[in-house]
Amino acid sequence: MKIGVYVCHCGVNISNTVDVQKVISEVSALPTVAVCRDYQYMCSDPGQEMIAKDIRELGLDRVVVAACSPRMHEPTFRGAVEAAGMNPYCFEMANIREQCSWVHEDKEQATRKAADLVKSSVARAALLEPLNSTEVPVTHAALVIGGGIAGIQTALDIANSGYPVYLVEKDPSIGGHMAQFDKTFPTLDCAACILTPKMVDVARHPNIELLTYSEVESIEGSVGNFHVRIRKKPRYVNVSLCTGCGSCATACRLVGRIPSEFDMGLGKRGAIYVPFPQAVPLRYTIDPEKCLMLKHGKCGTSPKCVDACDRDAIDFSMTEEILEVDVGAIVVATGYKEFDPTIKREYKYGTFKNVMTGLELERIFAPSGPTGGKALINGKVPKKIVFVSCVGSRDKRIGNPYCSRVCCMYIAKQAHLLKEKIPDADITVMYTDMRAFGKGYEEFYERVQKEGIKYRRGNAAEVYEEDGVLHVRAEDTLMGEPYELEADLVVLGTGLEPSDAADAIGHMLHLSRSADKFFLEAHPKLRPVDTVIDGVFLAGAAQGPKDIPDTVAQASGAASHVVNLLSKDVILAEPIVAEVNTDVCAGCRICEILCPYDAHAFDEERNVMTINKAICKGCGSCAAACPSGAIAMNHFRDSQIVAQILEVI
Amino acid sequence: MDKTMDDIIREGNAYACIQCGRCTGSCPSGRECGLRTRKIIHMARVGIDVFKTEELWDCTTCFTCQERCPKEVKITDIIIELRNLAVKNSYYPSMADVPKIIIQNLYRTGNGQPLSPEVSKLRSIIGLDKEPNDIAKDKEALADFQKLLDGLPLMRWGGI
Amino acid sequence: MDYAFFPGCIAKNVYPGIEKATRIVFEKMNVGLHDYPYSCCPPPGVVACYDKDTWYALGARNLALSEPDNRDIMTICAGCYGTLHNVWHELQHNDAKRAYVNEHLGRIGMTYKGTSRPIHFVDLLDGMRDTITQNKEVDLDLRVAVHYGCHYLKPTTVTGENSESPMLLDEIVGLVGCKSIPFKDRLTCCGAGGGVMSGEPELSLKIMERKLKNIKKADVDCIVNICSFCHMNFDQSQKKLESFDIPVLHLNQLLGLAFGVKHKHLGLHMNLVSTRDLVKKVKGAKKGRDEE
Repeated sequence: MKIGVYVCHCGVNISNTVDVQKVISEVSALPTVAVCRDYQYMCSDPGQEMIAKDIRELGLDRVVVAACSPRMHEPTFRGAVEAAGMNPYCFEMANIREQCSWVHEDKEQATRKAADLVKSSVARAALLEPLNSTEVPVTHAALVIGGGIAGIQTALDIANSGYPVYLVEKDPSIGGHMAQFDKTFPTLDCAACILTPKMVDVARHPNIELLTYSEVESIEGSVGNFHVRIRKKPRYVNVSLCTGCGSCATACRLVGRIPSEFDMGLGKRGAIYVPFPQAVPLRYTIDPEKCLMLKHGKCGTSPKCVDACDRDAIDFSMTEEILEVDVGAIVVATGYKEFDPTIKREYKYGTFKNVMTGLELERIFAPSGPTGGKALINGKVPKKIVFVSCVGSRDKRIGNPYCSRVCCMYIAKQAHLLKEKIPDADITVMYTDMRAFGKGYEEFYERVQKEGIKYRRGNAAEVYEEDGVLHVRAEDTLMGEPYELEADLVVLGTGLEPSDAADAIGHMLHLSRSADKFFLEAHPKLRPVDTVIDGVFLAGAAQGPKDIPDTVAQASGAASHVVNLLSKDVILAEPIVAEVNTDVCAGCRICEILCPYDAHAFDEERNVMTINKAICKGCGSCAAACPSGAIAMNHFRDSQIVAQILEVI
Repeated sequence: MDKTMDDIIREGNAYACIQCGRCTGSCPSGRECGLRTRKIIHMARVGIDVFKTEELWDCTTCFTCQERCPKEVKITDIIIELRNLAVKNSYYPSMADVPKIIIQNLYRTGNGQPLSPEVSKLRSIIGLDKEPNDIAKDKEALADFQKLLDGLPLMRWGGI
Repeated sequence: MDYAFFPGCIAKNVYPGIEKATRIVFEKMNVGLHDYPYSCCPPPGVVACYDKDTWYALGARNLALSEPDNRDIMTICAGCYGTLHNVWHELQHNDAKRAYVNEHLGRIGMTYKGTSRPIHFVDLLDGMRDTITQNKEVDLDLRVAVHYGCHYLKPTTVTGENSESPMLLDEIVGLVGCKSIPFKDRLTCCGAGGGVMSGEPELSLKIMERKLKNIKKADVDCIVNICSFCHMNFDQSQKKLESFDIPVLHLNQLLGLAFGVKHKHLGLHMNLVSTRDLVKKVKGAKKGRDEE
């Protein structure tokens, strides 16, 4: 046994608190240690080369690096020792930065602790076994969950690289929230004009199978080989026959009687509908909750939609279908939902109809919206308008402590659009802090102020009504004066929350959430599109509130990571997995219940448990729980852990 | 259990304040006087001896600001603690004289609002005991109560 | 049902009609109320603002009095409730504070255990809606402005109430035939609390004046409150301001009227703002019912 130990200074991050030379002199004395050195930055090229040289020249068979958390640099050093001819799983890391120098002040005690940590790593290293990765084939297809701008961009990028993509969208059309917007900030591009061509590209792309009105039912497997079940909800309209002519919708007995989800309830649709005129696919869908035929089995003497449809596309006997597909990679683009301000009772949303949310106002602006793009609020042109920022954002009280990042700018945009449509409108924006951080945003903020929009620092405290007129109460914090404004329209700058679909999808894929409830990326700085689950990537607002440019950038990033993965024929599977000793296994199946990844499969015939190495993530739950000690965790065997513990106690 | 300015700011979570002004905008008192709740919190956390300001005593402790604060700053609790600090540092303003009388009544009768002969008469008119069946009537309980108060800080700071 | 009864110094020593009305109404509803040698709560505005530790200790003394009898404490004033409930709540989870109050209570041979909970009478009434309806003899048919009282509602982290759109009081006055009329800023403070009424009477009066203007616009027969301290402020301030004459009733006085109790037994004639027209109106309603 020849162990090499390398202690890193991490600049001064470690050496300021830990006496590196003292650690070296203690560790050098250990009988198994052949060499012990220190260096300013072990992760640098010269640092890595120092290790490689020792492996080659001294014939080291184990290496311990005492430095930072293995989370970042374990892969670096494993690569380095492997390149020098050593098995990468004979490498061990001692964390003397996060777990020592950064959290202690007393140099003497920190040094003692660092030495103990290194010695315990040496004890463990001595018992490490060489492990070999196995090759796993890669299925050359991808699944994208969510058909908003994030999902659309991801799907197009992957498809353009030549790989098949299944794009799953729960609604009848792709387009997501962006399709609901009129203009986009700060360029005032028409949202539909820039989005619809992409939607059409998706529908026409030979590599994209578009699955709208569908939901992911289950996902099994692991990186390179996911097996996905997708539930296609019945549209009750045969999409290959439907031409999207709309005769059915005009004929429907319930036309104009059902609040349109797409129009935020401000517009009405019938029981057979397309969410909006530019929908992709432009195929009709029957709402089973509302359709008289589907709910009561009777629609007058005969369903009017059937009578109106020349193509006989309507089919009430349609049932849901389950589609099973295999993919190598998955992108989660489940987006966001608008904060429901009803719980901020002081703003009286839901009580007074002239208090509306940002997304509702978007629909008022839209030419395809409930007012045909006219600035009419409940039939009247508003003249006194107050915008309230940070509704449901930066608010710990309702559990959303984060900034939603888009509200400052969409308020500015909406204020501009209102001013354009109603030149004599008196518009005030009550804001907490102005956050105009993107390209062209600050300039836009200046522009709208020039247009006569009044920005008053200090957010609205409450809204009340007197004699049929709304009043907003606030403090102008720059003047230090409380004041009240009359308003015939109050727009709440509602923030963003993860979409409802995030719960089910997150559960299926075992994804972590950050404190803000959005999906957690693998590293906040360096791996913003990856998740800790290999082969699963994030795009758009599913990962955190984002504007359109950031969403599209991240979507392309996610696509490139997918393509990177799909371009390989095989990938190496991590050998740190659990193994069952079938001679000892009593078949109690406790491990099966505990496995968070469903990697366990019971062999009924032999009455023993088996573990699928491709699915196992090496969490160790089963090994720890096995009452007969039949399960061993590679790289974390009991003997290895015990040796490590004994050294520090 | 004397609290320092720093204790008050930390316990009240004043560091989380984003100066949005929802507190001042909600304040029923600030509409009528110079109290600017947001400013009190700002002054406290930048290290100004805000307990010396008279506006501190304009708050009716209705808790609306604390209720609406999006950052969960315990605004009203902080104001009450700052008043405690003011009293300990003998900074209570002249307007606190009447409350002082209430404290004297409390000590003397067990009630901040003692029974007057007139009300005693009214009580019997509507069929209640002339004297309420409370501490003021129970001399033993009152003596204990005074003993209790004698050892409590209010007597030290309240300056009777 | 039996409760320790905490009348509070205003209901005892300033508006005894409130104490009387409470005793009558709860007797009719078969709720036993028991007296203890209570001190005043002590007031959140004055004592808590001067020295919070003293406030805890004196509050704990009151809370401890009915512990040997295992009785929860019914309050009829939002101020008393604010003190007793906040003290109780704090001592439930703050061991250091509990040790502190017990150290002091020990000097007079008392211990605080926290086994008797303070309860605001409106919350009690919430569970007695049927009893209220059964005892109702008169449908009052009044337009009322309800006033909740800040410390009954807030802080919601302690009270668990909905401080922006509470409905309980509106519903209870509805049980006896009254209509709660919405008015501007109906939930704002009356201006009495925090020692402002005693320390800065002019400021307090300004807050109240704004409130009364809003109530006057709503054209109501009376103001109904669940706080003796707010009650006193509403009644006395109208006398000082001279431009208002809206009768002020504590909820228990209103319930007393609905239960057929004579207004003089409820002490309504002791208010500074005359309740004569109101009483006349109620008598009319009662007569109408008798004739039917």
